[in-house]
Amino acid sequence: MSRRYGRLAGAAAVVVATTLAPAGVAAADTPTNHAAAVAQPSVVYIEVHWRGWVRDTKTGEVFGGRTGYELTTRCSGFFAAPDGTIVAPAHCVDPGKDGVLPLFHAKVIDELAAAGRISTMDKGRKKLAATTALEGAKAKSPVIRDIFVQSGPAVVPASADDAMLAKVVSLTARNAGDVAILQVTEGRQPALEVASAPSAGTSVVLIGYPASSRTSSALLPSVTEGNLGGGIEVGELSGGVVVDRQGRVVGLVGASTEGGTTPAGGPKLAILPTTAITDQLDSADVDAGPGAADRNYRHGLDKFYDGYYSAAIKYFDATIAAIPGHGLANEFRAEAIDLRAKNGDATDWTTIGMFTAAGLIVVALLVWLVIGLLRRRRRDQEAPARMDEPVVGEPSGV
Amino acid sequence: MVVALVASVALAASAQARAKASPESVSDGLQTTSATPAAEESSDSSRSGIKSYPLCVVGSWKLQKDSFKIQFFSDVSTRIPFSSRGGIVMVLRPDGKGSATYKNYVSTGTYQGVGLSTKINGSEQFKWTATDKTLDYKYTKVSRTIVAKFGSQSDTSTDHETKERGGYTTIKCTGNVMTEKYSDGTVTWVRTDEFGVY
Repeated sequence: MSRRYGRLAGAAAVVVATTLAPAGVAAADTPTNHAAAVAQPSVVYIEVHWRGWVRDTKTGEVFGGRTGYELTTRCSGFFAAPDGTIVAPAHCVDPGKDGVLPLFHAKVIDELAAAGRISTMDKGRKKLAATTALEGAKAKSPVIRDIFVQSGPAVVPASADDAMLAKVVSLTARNAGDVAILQVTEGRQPALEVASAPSAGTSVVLIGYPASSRTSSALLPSVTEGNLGGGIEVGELSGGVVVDRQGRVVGLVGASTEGGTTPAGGPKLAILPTTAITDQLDSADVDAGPGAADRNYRHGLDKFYDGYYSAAIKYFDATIAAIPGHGLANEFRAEAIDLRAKNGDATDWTTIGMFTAAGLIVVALLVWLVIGLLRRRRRDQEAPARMDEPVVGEPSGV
Repeated sequence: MVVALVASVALAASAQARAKASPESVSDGLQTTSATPAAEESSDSSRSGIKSYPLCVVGSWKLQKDSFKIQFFSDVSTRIPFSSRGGIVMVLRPDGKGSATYKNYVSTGTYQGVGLSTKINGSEQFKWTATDKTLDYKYTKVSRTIVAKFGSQSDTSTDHETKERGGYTTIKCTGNVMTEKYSDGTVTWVRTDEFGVY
């Protein structure tokens, strides 16, 4: 994981006409830019390499030869906690009938059909589902599954050289929620907050990596604007992360509860509610939410977009110290340095006003105190002698 | 007195703002969760014990036709052509075991204008291996009754001999048809859905 974002290339391949990365004055602080800049570092590209054999439990016949069948599934997801907890659609990592098993069966069916051993495709699928098991290199061992996770520009196909390896902590199958909790253990990660109850019509941004099998040295996520509740096209962005304008997660693209499959064999997609995500996080006992590094990054973004580059750099430095691989923090920091050299820091009228007001108040207080003291002294000087004091004057007559 | 109170609130707000302007120290307690995956991570492993054979061969086969030459008479060395249709079902299982069931398997030929026939009932069990082009088999158990007829004469024998018996044929298996060829004959099988068909 020693990649670095290219200069300004931390920007997503934006579907709408916006850029995320700070492109000088072009980095306008639009709601989409800001939300995407907050969320994108936490959005990950997940590529799962499967290898397995299909064994007929009745006849003992094993399909897949010596090397087995190989499959790749791809999706997006997001870091839900700084400890490397990832939320992703379950169907992407599920070896069962709601995951990749039908894809393995499809490979067997192709071979059997070529050998004349399929009566009808439908019968074949049903019989395979009823009589076979998906296995690893040994009988009854689990199928081999390597889950590669990358953030920022992703290398396709993924390998251990470029990606983190993840394990599945828990999952709820496709028809019952389609949310999986994964875990990487390579240090602190940038995490997102999951919003509690987003309302329909909320302006949102969908960030996700396209499910492309094309080789790429820098696959970037797309960013699409829309509205929650039907106002956004999910396309084939399985695991795409839907965030509101504050960069909080308000949905995840997963399998539609209406069922159905795409021509490619994957499930039809829809936006899963946040309750499905929070339920899964709770059941896995995950302490979810952003950490201090994430808050620093967001403060840095706020400062950056307000033109307070020195302050932004300070926050980005703190972010990078905690998460060295934070691509966008590095990019924003570099751009902040450039912009500060070019334009200087913006004037912080709020702070100046606050200090000026405080100063004036202090001055007024001092003036008031001085006046009060002077008045008191004058009163003291003008006061009559007290009656009990001895009177010095002429002696009384004899 | 009122003025002094306002001033202290303003200064407190200012101090709070200054405090907020500093990055937070990062001290998240990193935790890892032990996974209980339903799949295993692994790399370059292959499955041992996989028998290598063409998928097409496995299954249940019914004899469509065969033609062969045999020495019919013990005292006549001439190999006489015979042919037959039906009467045998052969099953080739993926574990390398096979069987053939004979049910009124009748082969016919002629010798000097006289009709010859054999009728076989019984079964065979054997072990087999195959490549795309060859099928090897070795009997493990044979139990057949053979009735041979020459004109009005007939002879019945039983066959339990398995020692040293077996064979090698070249095959061509395309979907639902498999053809075997050997030195003295050709056999054509058609697939049934009794075994190996999904």
